[in-house]
This record gives sequence, structure tokens and C-alpha cells, in this order.
Amino acid sequence: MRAETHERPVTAGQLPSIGELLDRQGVLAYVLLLPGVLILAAFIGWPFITSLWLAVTDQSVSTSVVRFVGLDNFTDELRSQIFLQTVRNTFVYTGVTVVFKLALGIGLAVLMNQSFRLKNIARAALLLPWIVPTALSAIAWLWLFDATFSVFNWVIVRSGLADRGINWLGEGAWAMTSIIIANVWRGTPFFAISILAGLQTVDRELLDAAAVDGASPWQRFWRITIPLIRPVVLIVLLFSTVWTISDFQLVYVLTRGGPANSTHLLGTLAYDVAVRAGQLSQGAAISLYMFPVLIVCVVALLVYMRRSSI
Amino acid sequence: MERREITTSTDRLFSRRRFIYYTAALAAAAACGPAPAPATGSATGSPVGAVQLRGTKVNLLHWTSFVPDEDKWFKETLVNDWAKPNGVDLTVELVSANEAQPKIVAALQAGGGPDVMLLQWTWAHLYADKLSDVGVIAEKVGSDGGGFYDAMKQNSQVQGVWRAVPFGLLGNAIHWRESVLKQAGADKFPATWSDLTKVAADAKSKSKLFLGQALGHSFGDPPTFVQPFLWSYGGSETDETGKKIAVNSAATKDALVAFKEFFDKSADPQCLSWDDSSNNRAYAAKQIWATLNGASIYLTALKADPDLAKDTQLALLPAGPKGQVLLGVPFQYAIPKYVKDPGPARELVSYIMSPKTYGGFMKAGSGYTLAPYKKGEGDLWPSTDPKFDPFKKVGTLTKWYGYPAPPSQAAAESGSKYILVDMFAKVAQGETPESAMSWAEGELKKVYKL
Repeated sequence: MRAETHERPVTAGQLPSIGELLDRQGVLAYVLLLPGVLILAAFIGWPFITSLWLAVTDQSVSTSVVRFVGLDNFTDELRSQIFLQTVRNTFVYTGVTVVFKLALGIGLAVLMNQSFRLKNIARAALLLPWIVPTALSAIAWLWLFDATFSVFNWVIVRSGLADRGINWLGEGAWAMTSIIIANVWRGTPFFAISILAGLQTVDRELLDAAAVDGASPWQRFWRITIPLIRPVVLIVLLFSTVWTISDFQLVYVLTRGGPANSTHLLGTLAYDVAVRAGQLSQGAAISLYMFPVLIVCVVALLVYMRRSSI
Repeated sequence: MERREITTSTDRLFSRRRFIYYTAALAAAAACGPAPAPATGSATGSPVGAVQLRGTKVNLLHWTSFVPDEDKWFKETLVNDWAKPNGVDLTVELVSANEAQPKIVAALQAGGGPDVMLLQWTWAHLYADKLSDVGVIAEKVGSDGGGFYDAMKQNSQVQGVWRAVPFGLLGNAIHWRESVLKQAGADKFPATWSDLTKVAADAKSKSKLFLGQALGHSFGDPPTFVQPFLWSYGGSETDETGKKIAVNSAATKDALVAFKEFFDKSADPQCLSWDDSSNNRAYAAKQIWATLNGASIYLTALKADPDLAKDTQLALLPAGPKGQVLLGVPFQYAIPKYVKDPGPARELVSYIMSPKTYGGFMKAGSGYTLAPYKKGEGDLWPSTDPKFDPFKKVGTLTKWYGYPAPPSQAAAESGSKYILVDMFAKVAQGETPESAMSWAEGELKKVYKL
């Protein structure tokens, strides 16, 4: 369809009025985009450029004179065992949580797509972990995992499953498991609700036709439903990967990266180095190590969306 | 325009011309009479000199104490006794000790924020370039207080310049239950680490209660335990010059081997996740029989559980082969350079730190925060409770981050990264002392840029 414009011819030497300019679609589009672009530039673009600059200097809280050091901050980190451990932690944390969130999210979405009493209330309740502020829910998890007063340990000991409880946050592997559990609990609703929205767009007639042709429920789900909701699943997967890899609050409240750095993620380590130890440039370099991974995710997402829209 | 006639006595009294006469007369009288004195800061014998206080605003960033009466003193007594009479709009912002540093860094980087900030440890060395010289106040306070303890001076002076005024010291002591110690067959608290390991192992096997020592990433209890432990065996981060990393040594290995035995026999792995409040809760719930902590555990028990308080005794950390060394948590007041009119801030610090005011503060807090100067263990000592007496030695015995080298930015950074705490935590988790030392050496080399 051809865009309809209401442009009035402007005679030579006569400037168009603001109203006339805004009548032009090309101009109006930029005017409408401007506030969003300015907000993004101020709150994302500028901090990002600043962190790029910081990462190639030797700025710390204590220095007044700043020197350009090239990529030294990046190479220095590669010699740090804490950093290397943090990179491993970040990938383990992201990989495991995303897989669990996806599996549980699909399961919950399928469940919520059925007809049952109080369906709407159940759907609303499902969103609660996602809605509650992370810092608040992390404090609740902190109490659940508390070394002395853990509810889980109380149940384990009282039910006779073990003589003593699990050292949830005090032992490296259990601490990682704990933050993974908390993250999965928090992130699953996002998967479930998004996939549920996708499920509701699946044409019932296709499923009914397959059933008539003798397809089993599993075949219908695997061969018809999954291909149809794949765009939604991929987008949710990519968003979740981006958010999880840059996670901070949950880990900061639950373990602060401990014990002995076994749960540090790039976000929490960058914070510790930049803010607590005052090494702003090193902290910026650590956080920028996330960038290549995130950019791959974003590019993949954009490419996929472009292909889907063709 | 119609002219209005003056007809009544009221009209005559308040006519425009008369109003001008009265006003002029009042102004003349006011000009000739004695002027109201502006509120100045000289009343406390301040070294700052006359400072215009009335109408000024001061924002004080302070930590939230584990003893609520100390917070109350700042929120109420300080406001009523100093701010209101001087006409100062004083805001006291209390933040938890672990959250203070992010606020301070943000303020220093942004160039705006609190007028007075309470620093911890050797942070004055970390932020020296951005802090005002407060030598005039510090010298006067130190002199009035009978002299600062060496550690307090070391933490606040950067290359001879006072970048902060010492505020106080949290003396950590082992809180232990007399009944459990007796159950273990001991009649007094052990004086050495090796004896404590034996007694605490017996206590654990007989009472099923362990010695709870926090080893997580938290500001107070973990470093005040591991660093003195290391020093008392002769180990340290660097040599005395601070120019050579010395952590990978026979002395450190001795310390770590002794610690591993101590931890395995008397503590519990759950301590690896503990922060500064975990052991308070565990002790109050009688889940542990001993723990290193500030006096807050005992002070809380006095009110909440008198029987537990009665059973509780306090002792300083035991000695190692190289003697008894402590690490109290030091606090200092700093005034950032971004404060355009530092007069009121300086006046506030002078007021708080004058021995007269500080004595009142110590009394309010029952001696939880110890004075940074020697009068604190003398005339100003607030407690009549003999259980508190061990704290009198904390100021003298306490060292600083980076000891035996002078405090430095690198030492402060290493402390903020919990490198020594993690070295001990790794050993507690089962890593060999050699591996943990080697790890710490690598991280320290990076921090010290050596």
C-alpha cells in the first residue's frame, strides 16, 4: 500500500511550518523515534562507551591521572585464577539454568493450556516468582538455604533422609546448585507464560486433523506443536540467555560469589573488583568479557527475526 | 483617582507614611542594638576555628551498628545535642557495613554525596586522592584523647597526611560458653591456638556444639580471624617493605596446617557461607558454643537471654608461635574533597570525637565501639562489667591490613577482594595448603603489581 501523504507544495523561498513538516511521514517517524533514541543513548549508549573507555585505561577510585593502557586489563585478567573460575561458573550457571527453565517452562505451558477449574488464577500465580523483585525473593531463598536455620535441612533431618542437613551455601558445588535452583524458580514463569502464548496460537484444526490421521499425542506435540511454537521458544531462549549470563542480584544476595569464589559470575566479580576493590578499569574489562557472548546472542536473535518476517 | 481620607485612629496608625516611619525606626534600633551571634563551631574547643553553622546542611554516612543504641545515639542524641542547637540540618544515613563501600565509591566517582563518610579498614589509602587533609582535627583529637593507637594512625595517615580522623575500633573477642568449656574438661579459656584446637575438639565431641567461625565474604569476622591467625604463626601477605609477596612461605604453611586441624576438629563446614550476622544468630540459638565477634552478641544476650549472657565469657584470640596479634575493625571519618564548604563537616567530626562527647557515645553503646585513642581504655571506659576488660587490650594489640608492611592501596584492595580469607576457606574446603598459598600468591602479585 502506498503511504498517503498530505504534503502541501512549498513555494520557493517559503519555509514549511512545523505542522507541515510533521505531516511528512519521514520527518514524523524521526521525531517519534527521537525520545526513545535519546533515552537509549543516555542510559545504555553512554555508559557502554564509558565502560569501553574505562577498560582501556588504568582508572581506579584512587587515581586522579588516567593513562591509556590498551588491552592490558583484558590480558591481566586471563592470568587471574579467580577470573578463569568465574568464566567457568558463568557458563555452567547459564547453561544449566536455561536448559531447566526451558524444559520446565514447556511443561508448565502445556499444563496451563489445558482446561481446568481456576485456570486463570493458576496462570496468574504462575507469574509470581517473575513479578517479585529479585532482591526480595533472593532474601527468602537465603533463609531457605541458611546454614543454621534452613527449612530444607529441617525437613531432611526430621524426615530421616539424613543425619544432618546439606551445607547449601557453604560448599562449592552445593552453593552453585543453590543459586541454580533459585534462578530456575525465578525464570521458569517467563518461559511458561511466553510459550503458553505461543501454544494458544496453534491452530486446533491441525491437531484434530493429525489425531484423525492416527497421530499419538506425543507425535502431535513433537511434530506439530513444537515446530509451530519454535519462533517463540527461540526468542525466549535467547532473551533468557542474555539475562542469565549477566545475572547479579541473586548471586550477590545469596553467596556474594563465595565460598572461595565458587559462585562468582562475571557480573558479581566485576562489581567486586570495580566497586569494592576500587579498580574501575579492571572491573569494566571483566564486564566487557560478557559482550562477545551477548552480541552473538543478539545477532542470532536479529537474524532469526528478520528471516521469520520474510 | 479618588483620594482616600484618613478618618479613623486605625487608619492614622497604619497609614502608608506612618508604616514607613515605624519600619525605619525598627531597622535603626536593630542596627544599633547587639547583633544575634551566629552559631559557630568554637563552643567545643574545635580546632577548625569559627565556622558559620546556622542554616547549613551536613550529610553523614554511617554504618548501621550491630548495637542499636549506637544508631540511636547518632539519630537522636547527636541531632538534639549538636545539630539543633547549632541550627544545622543534619542527615544521618545509616547503611550496613557491607553496603557502605559501594555508596562511598559512587559518591567519590560522581563528585557528590555525603559530607562526612565513615570509612572502614585502610580505605583512606584507597581513596586518598579524593579525601581532604584533616590533619588539624586529627592532631587535636589525638592529643585530647591521650594519643591514637598505632593501628588507627596507620589506617588514617597516607604518606604523612591525615586523610581521615580515626573514629573507633570494633574489638572482636571470642564469645564462649563457660558451661560447655567445663563440659570439655577445661577450667579456663586456652591461651594458644593449639590448646584451643584440643579444647574445642573436646567441646564439639561432648556437647555436639561447634566453634562457629565465619569464613564468607563479609567485612568483619572473617578477616579479623584469619589475618591474626596467619600473623601469629609469622605469615603475612608481603614482607615488611610491602615490595615482595611473602605469602607462599613456611610460616604460612604452618598456619594453614594448624588452621585445617582446628577447623576440622572444632568448627563446621557451614561456616564457609557465614557472614557477620550468621554467627550472632547461631550463638543466640545455642547452635554453637563459641565464636569470634564484637561485643554485640553479649550485649544482645544481656537483654534477650540473661541466662545465655551469664554463661557467656569473652576472650581475645589466642597466641600462636609468634605471639598474640589482633585485628580490630577500624573506622575513620573522611571528608571528601568535593565538599565545597567543609567547615560544618569538620566541626561535626571535631564535636563527635572530642573525649567528652565520645565518652557519652561509648556509654550509650555500652562500649561496643572502642575509642581510637588511649583515654578510651582509661577515663572514658564505659563498662563496669569485668567481662568487658579484655577489650581494653584490643587497641594496643591490633594491627592493620597489609601488616607488617605499612598500609597501602594494594593491601586495601587485597582486603576488599578477601584473598587471605579465601586462602583459608580453600584449605577448610580440603585444598592443600601449598595449592591455596600458590593461588593466593598469584592473586596478590596481581594486586600488588609485583
